[in-house]
Amino acid sequence: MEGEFERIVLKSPQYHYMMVQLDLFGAKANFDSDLFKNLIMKALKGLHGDVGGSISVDIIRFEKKSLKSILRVPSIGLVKVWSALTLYSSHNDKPCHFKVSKVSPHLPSLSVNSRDFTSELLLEKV
Amino acid sequence: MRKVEVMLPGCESLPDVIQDISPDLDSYYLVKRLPVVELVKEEFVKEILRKGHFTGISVGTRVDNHTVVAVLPSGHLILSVDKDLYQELGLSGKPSKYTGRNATRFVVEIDLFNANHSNGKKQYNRVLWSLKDRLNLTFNFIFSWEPINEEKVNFMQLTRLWDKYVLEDLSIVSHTIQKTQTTVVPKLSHNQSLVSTPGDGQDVSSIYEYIGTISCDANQSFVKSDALVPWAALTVHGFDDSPVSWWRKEHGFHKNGCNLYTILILPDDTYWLYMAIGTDDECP
Repeated sequence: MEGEFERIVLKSPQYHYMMVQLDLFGAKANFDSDLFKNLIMKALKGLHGDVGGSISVDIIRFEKKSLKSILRVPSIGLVKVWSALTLYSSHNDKPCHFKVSKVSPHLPSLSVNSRDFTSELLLEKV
Repeated sequence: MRKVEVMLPGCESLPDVIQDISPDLDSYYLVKRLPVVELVKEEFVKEILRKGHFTGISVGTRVDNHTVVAVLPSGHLILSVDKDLYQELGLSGKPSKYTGRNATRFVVEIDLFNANHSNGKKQYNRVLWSLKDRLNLTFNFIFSWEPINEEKVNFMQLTRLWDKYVLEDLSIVSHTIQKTQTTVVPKLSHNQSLVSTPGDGQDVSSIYEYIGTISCDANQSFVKSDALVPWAALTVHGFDDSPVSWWRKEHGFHKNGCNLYTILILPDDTYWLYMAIGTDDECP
């Protein structure tokens, strides 16, 4: 059996995963994952209309405290979701913005961000 | 590597090997503000690089808009620089594969084990002059070093070589054991089709997604899965900002710089290796 192997290349992933955080600039809001999804759908409809609204976004993780979330987005709608989140700027007439910290077609890669490594090491800038 | 994850589904008590894991990371260090020229000096190549596995990478700089440097155990030093710096540097390199027709990023590869890379040779002097007199590039640099056949005494040599710089021990790695309560685990066997009909939860992407939900501690309700069959998965996360990835091929960062792999071991000693690559990567 030695040396026998099969190689599979997957080229177009079905989904992309996005790690996003909602920043309300200090304003208080009581969000749960349903409300959060509602907000995202509002952002999508606002920018892309019904076409945007038809993209199915799944919230696969939501942290109530930090408003951090991992979204699962069909790869075909990734650009629409990303742009809608970027341009969304107010919630209930209060300013807010979405920070997209990592986007990947591989979910395990979102469990760690090597770009945070520097802050962990408390490095000064070179 | 940035992080390693081991996943053992259906495992009530952890094997001792994992429980008292204390990876031998004595030689995992951070050195602050290290000039790149230190990495190409003949003394370093002779005393350190040739005597073990030395792997190092700059931290805090990004491969899509900064300068990044990496040293591989094969004796290659790889510098990924932008156009301006490349022109100032005066070393020959290749345009990056991912910058389009008008290259704005270049990759300089120096073979430190080459016969011409020794004192007195033209090439060596040129490299030294570029990296020292022309541009004094400095980085925060992390490295691991495993000497072959020799005792740790060797490390003294490194500290002697780099006595001007601050070396910080990074061997205190955090290590957490997380017990996840999950009712369903996908059933895996080596003869199943890995590209079965999408949506049945048994194709390779669904399984990888399942591993991801566990490692991200996410809500698992949407994962379809089956009976409990033991298997194990080991995920190794690399650095997103590495200038190289599989087999010394160029690595970049566009939408993401994914650089990780998972080894999934099945009970009959067959395994799957899932290499996750990013947007600016060549298929390994």
